[in-house]
Amino acid sequence: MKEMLIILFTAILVQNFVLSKFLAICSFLGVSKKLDAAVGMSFAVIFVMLMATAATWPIYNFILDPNGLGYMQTVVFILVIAALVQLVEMFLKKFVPPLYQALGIFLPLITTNCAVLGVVVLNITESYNFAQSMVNSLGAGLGYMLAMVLFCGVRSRVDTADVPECFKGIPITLAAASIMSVSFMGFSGIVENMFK
Amino acid sequence: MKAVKEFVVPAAVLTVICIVVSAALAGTYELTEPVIEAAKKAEADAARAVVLPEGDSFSELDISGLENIVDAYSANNGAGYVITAVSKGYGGDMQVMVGIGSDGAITGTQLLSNSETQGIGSKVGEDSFTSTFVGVDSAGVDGVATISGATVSSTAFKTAVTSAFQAYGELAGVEVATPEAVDPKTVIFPDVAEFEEITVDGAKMAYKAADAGYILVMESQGFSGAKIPMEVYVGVAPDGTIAGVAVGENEETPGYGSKALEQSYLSAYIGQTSPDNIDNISGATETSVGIKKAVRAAMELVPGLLGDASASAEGSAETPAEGEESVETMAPAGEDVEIQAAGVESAILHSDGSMTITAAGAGYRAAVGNVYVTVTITADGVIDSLSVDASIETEGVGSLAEEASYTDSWVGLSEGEAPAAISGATVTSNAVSEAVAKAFAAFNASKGA
Amino acid sequence: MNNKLKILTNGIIKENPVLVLVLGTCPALAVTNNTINGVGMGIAATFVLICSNMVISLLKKTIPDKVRIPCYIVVIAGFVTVVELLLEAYMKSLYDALGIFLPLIVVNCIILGRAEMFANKNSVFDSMLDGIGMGLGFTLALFIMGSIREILGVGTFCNIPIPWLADNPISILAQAPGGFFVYGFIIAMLNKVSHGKAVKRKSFDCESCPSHAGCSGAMKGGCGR
Repeated sequence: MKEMLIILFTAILVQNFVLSKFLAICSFLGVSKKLDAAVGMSFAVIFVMLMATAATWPIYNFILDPNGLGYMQTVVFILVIAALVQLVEMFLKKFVPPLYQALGIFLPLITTNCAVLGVVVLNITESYNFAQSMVNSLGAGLGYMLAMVLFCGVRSRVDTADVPECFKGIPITLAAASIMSVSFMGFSGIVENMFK
Repeated sequence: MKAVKEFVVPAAVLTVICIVVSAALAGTYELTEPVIEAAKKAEADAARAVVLPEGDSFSELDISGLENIVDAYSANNGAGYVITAVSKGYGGDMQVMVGIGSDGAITGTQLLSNSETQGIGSKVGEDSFTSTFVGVDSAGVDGVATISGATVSSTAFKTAVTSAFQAYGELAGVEVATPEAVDPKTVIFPDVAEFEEITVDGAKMAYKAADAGYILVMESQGFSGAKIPMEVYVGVAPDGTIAGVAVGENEETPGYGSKALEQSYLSAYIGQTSPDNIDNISGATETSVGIKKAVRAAMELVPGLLGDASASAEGSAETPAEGEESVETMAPAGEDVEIQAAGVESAILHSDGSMTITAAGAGYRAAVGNVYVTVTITADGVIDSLSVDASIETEGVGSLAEEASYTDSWVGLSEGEAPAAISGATVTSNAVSEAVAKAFAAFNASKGA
Repeated sequence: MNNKLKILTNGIIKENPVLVLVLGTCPALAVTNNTINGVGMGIAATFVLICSNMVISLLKKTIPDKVRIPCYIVVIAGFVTVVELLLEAYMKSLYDALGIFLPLIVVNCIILGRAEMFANKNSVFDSMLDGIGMGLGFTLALFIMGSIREILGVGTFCNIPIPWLADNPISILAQAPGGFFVYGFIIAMLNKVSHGKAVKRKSFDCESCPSHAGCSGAMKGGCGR
């Protein structure tokens, strides 16, 4: 249990996917303009991350690895994620229309969201067991959401701020992300000791 | 036709592309795999060469049947062995790679993985510590100095090195000194070769050691965090006194509770008839108390044991030992008597009506262990002496509560009174007050009874 | 001939994928704490880009429109795995340094973006030139960012210590926040020098997303609208 909590909080805070691992930067910067879009995207990412982990972990550990096909990992994982996203989209559209309304528009974006491929690959390279992988994926998704929601608040201030002409737009957004990343650095070393 | 064009063709194209890509990858893998394997082996060999500099390439050895060993390799040029052993550190498992040369001395050690506290326990991974093992042989591991402040981690490191030496002994077929795994029975009666197993009600196991006496094996919980109770071996001489105490299976913390398992402490029991005169070891209070409980329980069985045994062996019903014991259990005036008191660890009623009580209080690190206070209260309810075991608390802060300048300030106070708390160690001071309050409660309860 | 040269140089300066189009931000931030890692990443991605561009251009008539994105992904993932295996075999240190970002080349916006925007409309040779140009542009950008972060943040250049700087590094530049900051600063400088003309995009939007072509949100004018 303690180990699970450490994995969870490490993934959310210390090893935040966006701010310290630089995964999913495109969507982090692109979709963080509006709060509702940021939250919707985050839920879709958490959902797909958990589904993708639940699918890819058994595939790797029961099919690829025992047969010496570990090198096919990248090809198989990205195909599984693409197919999964497609299936989830069709399923939601047909059976859970309200959820499709909320998440549907974000789903196609997620196939190529590097955080999803990143988390399933990391689960394999860190040789987590199935439960640990699921917890790590959940933590990664929650960390993404935390970064998105927090940055959304920052963005709304930054966009209206009076900055030098050449910094307007992308540069000042990156500078703001930099400062937020500094604040997340403060978490390193905390998590291991939180559950002592 | 339309369906074919819309569904079959796309699916077929995608499938063909997948198959072609997979075939191309399989080909690439076949070509690169030998190179990758060679590179991995070279890298692993280089890591092993750090602890065994004379070794060039290594081959893996079969480690089945060896305890606490992760892997073992022998150098192909006969330079020695590289063995990775695991042991329990402060923060979890600790893996140590040990290089042992052909002469049986350590050529190098390295900490592989650990979760020791950064900056404290992690010091055992530094060269200044790992290099002190170089040149040490299996008998000398115990003598390597531990790092002050990182005793648990250092001890775990040494345990791993010892495991590696044992594996080395098995693998190389060499005799190595084994400081561990001594039969507790022979510790108590070193001259006795054979022990006859007998049955004694109330003891987990019991042995008859020829004419030298008996051994009763009792179970007792030591450190509250330990998952298994300690196996305490109590040796009883024919005259009813304790011939020796040794602890078998246990899970006491290395470096803390384990101090109470050493013969330098346990030998104090020899010649005693009860554990009352034995001091607790600072930093190992729970373990010391656990041993005392086991010894006390064992001594209660002694009258029956010696009586029965002598009845069957000699036909005599009475022995002086039994007489002495039964007198004590009847608790006459003039003797120190252990009494049952709720809420405290132990309570001893002295002949003059004063009591010595050990009680626990929750200090700063209550999650890990308690602060223990041993207080002597005179018959009229005044503190006569007080000592504190705050070894679990922060070194240099909470541990100030152990110092005489603080404990002396309690002397002369009665119930409800307390001296000023130690500045900076308020929580620990409160723990002491809590323990003293418990002691007074037990004191009053026994007076009222 | 002039036309071919233009395709080649287009990606290096005028449409530099990282600094001008602001694509491929993840690896540009993550692996540039060291010049060698940055250039290694650039070359690995260039290799994948050239190969995938050529193959996709070759198959542009064969691949049905409906499954083109999955087909592109499989082709790209195949080449990425080839690069992974080659690096693991012959350049183990670079393989270890790039770590998870090596398989993540698959989802690099630049590669899928060029397949979608250029390779499936142009000849094999042109696609190859485009791949070379874009790849070199990507490598150049990573080299610039890697140099700045390594020289100021670690005090070394290509792991060779620089006097004085090595003793006084601004180590935050080599860490995560420094990546965002240096990237933002370079773009701001480009803006300043070119009076706001160089950088094509004024803010982050769906253009950067490789799946924007298939995204219903993008067609309606943006995600979440």
